[in-house]
Amino acid sequence: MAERTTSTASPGSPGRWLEERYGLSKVRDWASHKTVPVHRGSVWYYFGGVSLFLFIVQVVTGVLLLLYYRVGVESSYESVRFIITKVPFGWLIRSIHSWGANLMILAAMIHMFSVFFERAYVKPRELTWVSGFLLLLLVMGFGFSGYLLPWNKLSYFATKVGTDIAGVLPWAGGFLLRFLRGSEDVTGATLSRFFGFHAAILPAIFTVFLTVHLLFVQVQGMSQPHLKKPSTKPPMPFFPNFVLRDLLLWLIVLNLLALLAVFFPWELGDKADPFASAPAGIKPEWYFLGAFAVLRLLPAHILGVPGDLLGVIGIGLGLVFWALFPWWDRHAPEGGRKAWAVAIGVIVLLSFSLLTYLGGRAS
Amino acid sequence: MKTTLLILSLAMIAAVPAAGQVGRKSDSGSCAACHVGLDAKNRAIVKGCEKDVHFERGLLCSDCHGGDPTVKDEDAMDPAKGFVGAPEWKKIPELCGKCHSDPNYMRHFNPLGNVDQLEKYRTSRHGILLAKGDRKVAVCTSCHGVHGTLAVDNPNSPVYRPNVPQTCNRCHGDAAYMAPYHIPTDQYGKYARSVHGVALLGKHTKGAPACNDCHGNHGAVPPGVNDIEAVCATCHSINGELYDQSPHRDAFKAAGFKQCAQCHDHHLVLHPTDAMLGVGEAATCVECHSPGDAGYVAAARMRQFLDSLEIRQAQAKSLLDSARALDMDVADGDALLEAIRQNLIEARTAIHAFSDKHVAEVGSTGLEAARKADSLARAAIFEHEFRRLGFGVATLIIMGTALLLYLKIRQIERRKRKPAAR
Repeated sequence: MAERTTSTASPGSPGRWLEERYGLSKVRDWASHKTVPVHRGSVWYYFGGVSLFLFIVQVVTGVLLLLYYRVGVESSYESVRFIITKVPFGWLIRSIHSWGANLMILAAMIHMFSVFFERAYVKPRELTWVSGFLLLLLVMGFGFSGYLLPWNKLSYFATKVGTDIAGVLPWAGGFLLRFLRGSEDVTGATLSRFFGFHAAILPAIFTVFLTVHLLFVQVQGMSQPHLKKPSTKPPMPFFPNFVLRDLLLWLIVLNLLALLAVFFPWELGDKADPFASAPAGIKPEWYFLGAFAVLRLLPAHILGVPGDLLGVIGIGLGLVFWALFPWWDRHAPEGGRKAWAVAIGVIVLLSFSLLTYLGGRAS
Repeated sequence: MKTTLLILSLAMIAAVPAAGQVGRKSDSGSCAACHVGLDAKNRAIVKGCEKDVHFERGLLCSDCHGGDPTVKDEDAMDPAKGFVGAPEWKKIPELCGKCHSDPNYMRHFNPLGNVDQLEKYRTSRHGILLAKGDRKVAVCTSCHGVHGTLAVDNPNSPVYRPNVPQTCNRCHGDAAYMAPYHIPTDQYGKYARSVHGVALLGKHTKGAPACNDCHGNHGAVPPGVNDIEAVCATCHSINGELYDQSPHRDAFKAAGFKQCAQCHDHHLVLHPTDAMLGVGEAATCVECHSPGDAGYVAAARMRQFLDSLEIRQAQAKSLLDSARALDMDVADGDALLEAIRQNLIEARTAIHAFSDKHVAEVGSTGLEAARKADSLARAAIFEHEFRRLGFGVATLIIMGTALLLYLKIRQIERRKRKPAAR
């Protein structure tokens, strides 16, 4: 095949030049043979690609923001204000970065639940599920660490409340609190640390997990849903059909991002003042509202144990249970969906939605 | 003698330090033991002593009235032992000054306190009339109280700053009492309505001036016509400096005008408004200036300048509000609005130079700030429109590309289906 392709490229052309050195025809060959299953749930495949696209948007806009952002209690807020008021199209980049973060988490969540309800996590894709779930947690880590970086009033107090939760844990709580904050309280040390997490440590870890996740998908191919009546439609070629469809959706998402950035520019608010009282009704970002609601709704003590400690432990155990779900539901992949697994998925989805709603309503 | 007295006082403080224990003090030889058991008149004499600042510091009745508190009954009030009873009215300042004018004695109680009260009192209108034998003028106890004398910083003291106007008014507001002196008695009413009175009595601004801040307290005199500017400039220093350099200074002096009070009044100093300036009906300038003279023209121009600066301020604020309503970040505009506000205050102060050129020069920074705020807001509003236009263009490009992609996908899939159909 490689020889055939080489022979079609005209002598001295860049294609031939590259072919002679890197054998790109092998890649083309692989892409032309790769297929994507077609069935009534095929649309959900695109959310993985959308998540990836939004990650790329975050990387590009994040790098552009880095050109002007200066971390520090005296400079973070000022530099973000400079970006959105003085730098040409700085407002657009900053707003797209903020909206993109939220859409990325939303897309990743939709991707995760679609994988769950299609039972795409069963053997042999257990580690694809685990790596994907860890990627979602890392994305939320990006959200949490990035939220503080403008050093405004809301982000300051949200970080204070968020890091307080880590301090609830027995034994390791104090250490974890100081590790996250870099000091006893949320200070300039916390800001520097969160910037380090957001711009260096998390991207490095994320890149590793993303590479592993994509590698798993490529090696194992896309999962066929385990339906009683399998789809009779022929699979779709990955290239160019699926890739072009992906691109089409990415363009629509890009336009949505532009719309949100122009019509609902992300506000900067007032600069953080550690001596001011916390603003009334302070809440975390929407993706933490569920956990926020759990901690708020629990009584102060349950059987003598602090309620927030039980809440943190409960959420932690829930996340572990969810991450290891492929090992709870590992039999009879060909038997269609398992009622109890679907029920658990529905309960988790409804609980998350309800708790997010309750967290948003909390005064 | 002083040292002995001091030692005795300090010993008394050690023996009976607590306030409110007149009875106990009598046990150690004070006068109160007898007076509290006598008739109403005698009881009234010692009423309030327990709160008296002197008593709290360990002084005894005998320190002012003489006598011997170590013996009982009438023997304690033996003139041979220095008992003077109630001091004569005209001798009260001297009696108080015995301690209060002695720096060596007073430093034990208040090292930073003044000891010139008696000296100043003698120069005051009250002191001069007292020296002439006037029994009605105020002495120390008229203002500070007698046996219940409280420290000046005690809010219940009649000489605590917010209480001073009422204290002065007890005599100066009494028309019958003041009749022999032929001076007005409506000062308190006017003061209470003035910007100073509203601040001190209404808004409880402790720094606002009371009567004594302009007239002096112990050396109280009505300021002379030529001293008014110096009195006002104690607080309004920039206004005073400008007035000193203005053509009004010499002109007012020659005409016998009351300097600041000529325009602002003295007890009824109302909050100044721009209406006081210019050539309108409410303007004070037209009381002296008439159309055609240089002062009339300058007054009209100064007013015109202040009005234009105020209008530019309102325009800038309105434009910035409009930009903000469009969700545009115009936080820099707040600093410019504050600069205009500050400059408007400076320009209003600058009118005391009574030079339209000076006012225009001072106010030029405000006009410049207004221009910047104006252009900032307009740029933000333009940017808002530009963003929407840019979004429209971007949407056309993106959606156009998406449409081309869609058509390409359809073409590819149709091409693929055709061979299959064959």
